[in-house]
Amino acid sequence: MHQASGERHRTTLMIISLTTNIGLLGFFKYFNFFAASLADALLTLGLEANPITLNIILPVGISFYTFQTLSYTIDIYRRQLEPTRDAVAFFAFVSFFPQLVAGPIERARNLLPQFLRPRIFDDVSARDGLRQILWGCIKKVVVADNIGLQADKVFADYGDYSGLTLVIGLFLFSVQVYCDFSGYSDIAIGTARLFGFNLMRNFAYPFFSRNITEYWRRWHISLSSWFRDYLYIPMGGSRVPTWRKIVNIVTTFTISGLWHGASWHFVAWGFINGIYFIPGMLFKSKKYTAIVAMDRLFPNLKEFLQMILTFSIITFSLIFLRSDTLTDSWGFIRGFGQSGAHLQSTQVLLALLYCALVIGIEWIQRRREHGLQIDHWPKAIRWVTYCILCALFLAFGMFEERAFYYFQF
Amino acid sequence: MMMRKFLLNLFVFSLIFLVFSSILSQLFERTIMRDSMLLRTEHHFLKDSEPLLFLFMGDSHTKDGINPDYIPQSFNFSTTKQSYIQTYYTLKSLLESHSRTDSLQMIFLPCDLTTFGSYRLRNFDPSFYWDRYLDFWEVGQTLDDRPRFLWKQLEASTMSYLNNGSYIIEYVGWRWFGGGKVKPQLNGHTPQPGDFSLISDQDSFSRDRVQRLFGEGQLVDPHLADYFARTVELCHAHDLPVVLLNFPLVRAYELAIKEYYPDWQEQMQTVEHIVNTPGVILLTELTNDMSETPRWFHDPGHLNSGGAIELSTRIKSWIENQIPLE
Repeated sequence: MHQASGERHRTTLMIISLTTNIGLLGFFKYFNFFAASLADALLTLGLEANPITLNIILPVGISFYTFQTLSYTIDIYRRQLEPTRDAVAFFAFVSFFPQLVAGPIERARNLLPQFLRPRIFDDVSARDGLRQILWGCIKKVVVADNIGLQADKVFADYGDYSGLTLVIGLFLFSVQVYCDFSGYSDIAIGTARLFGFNLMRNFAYPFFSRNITEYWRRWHISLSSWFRDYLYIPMGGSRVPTWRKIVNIVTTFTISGLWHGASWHFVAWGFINGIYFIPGMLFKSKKYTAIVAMDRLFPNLKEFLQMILTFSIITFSLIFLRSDTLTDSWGFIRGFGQSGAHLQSTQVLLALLYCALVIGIEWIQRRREHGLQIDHWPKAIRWVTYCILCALFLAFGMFEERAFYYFQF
Repeated sequence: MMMRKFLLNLFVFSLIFLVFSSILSQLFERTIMRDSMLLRTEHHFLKDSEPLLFLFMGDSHTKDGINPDYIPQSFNFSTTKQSYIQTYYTLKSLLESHSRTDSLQMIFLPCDLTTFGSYRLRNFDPSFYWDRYLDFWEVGQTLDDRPRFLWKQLEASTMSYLNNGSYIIEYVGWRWFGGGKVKPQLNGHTPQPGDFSLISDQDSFSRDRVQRLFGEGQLVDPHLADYFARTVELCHAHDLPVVLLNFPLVRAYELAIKEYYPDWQEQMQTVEHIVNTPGVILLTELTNDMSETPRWFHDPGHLNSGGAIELSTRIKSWIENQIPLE
């Protein structure tokens, strides 16, 4: 593609590459979904069809590395990247073990050159990598897995619980999915740093966002920016009339929902998040770049309310991400008004304490790359902190097998 | 050069952490665990000097199901999630080194559908507690899993708090929020509240539990069957008859296990020769009808306080038919 003479030839080659990549993803992930959905649609028209569904095992992390290879092809097509002739480096880029199964979805222009140049061990980077791994482990094994037990109960039997318990369960899931996924990203980035690689940042304290736009710039950054660069901007991005901009953003988010899984509840989750952008577009909401309360310890009342509102509406949309079907999502929402059972109060209190631990530490550390970037602290205090965190990890960690939430995507 | 410095730092930190962790372990054992149910059973057993006639060993089925207040001169030395490996070594230690066991007339051991499940091999926690009774190296050799039990040994001496945060939470809970009131514990028995008859769909509840508990393991694990035989031999070596208690399970749960293991009879046959050994009595009739009464259970496999009183009373009557009690 890079050496192809004519523009038409280049475009043809790119289409072949994209079709192959997306075709593989489509076959493994979406074949059954589209076949069943088509049969359902025909049935509503009175036509009975027996969908051909295949018993396909979904390769772990396929959505992540497919997007990574797509970015490579598109960047070469756009002449933003020189293709590599080093096959080992290319395949190492596609299958780099720390981020293979759940990202961050790397760009070839960031990661590939790192395989090509000689790596020198960097003591400072490696030490910070270890800190990041420790923080990621705490978030995943201590916080996410412990509070996940309560959230799982609520989502499994949402019909039995009171409305208040459903709200608590939903809040816990929101923190769980953040700690689970950002914990994984921290472990992946930290591990890569031990080997001298710098992966892109995937989370930047999304709970401290003041509006939806800021939230999506801080949550799953590698995927959001992928969709921005390779889908939203090519569709015209924000350089089009407002109504087109709305269509573009809703389309992008709906496809992003489908990326998460072959099911209508994921599509609904993406669609709702797209819809969330509309008020901001119509009323031109402020674009926040710096983290909230940059030069203060606490936010002001307005910022605090903005954060609560953003967190609440994002958490509401997570009903669609967490439920097994669209019907379950509606059932969960209808349950907000019901009376019923409660979770054990001590377990809820404990889960909330875990949430407070993470949110509190990350609030203090919000100006830094990750929650445990404490290289500026005196050595003795740092080492005592590591000892305490390691002991916390060992005592309160859940060491039974609980996969990372995003592995399913 | 930089990597050497990094590795040196890492090594020094590991050593410091090991020392820190050992201190924490000691603190954990001496403060938090001192008041745990587990150690209170042991303290209770050791501090009392009254000779015992009947000793009950086993897992949570025994712990929840036998109330020694209803059986004179008896003690319930069971622990939650205990397997026959732990039973064997604990009993060996009690029989060989505690004078209270000199007067024993019978040993009661569990023998129900869940007793020999492979899942029981998963749990040897808290490791520092089992380190007092078990030879981890020997167990590792027997189970052909030396690395795991070497780790358990290290854990017991330097990281006894590992994966035991629940004890810390329980301790903080009753110290700070529970007014310091210790849960009642009667000669090793823990009365359980709860009423399983309130569960509407007992069938699916039971099936989920079987799936979760047994997973892909066997109903009768050969290692556990082997330790069962060794435990019976140990009792006989001390001239003690063994009474096997078929602890009741809610009927739905029992059926769910049988459905999960269609070859359950075949598997249970592997321990039949031990059950049929002279000097071993299996009490089945005593508990059979209890399975039909879910209100005596707090979950499908465990009796609540009412069920425990019922079962203990029945055992007392049975004993009275064998030996006149004062």
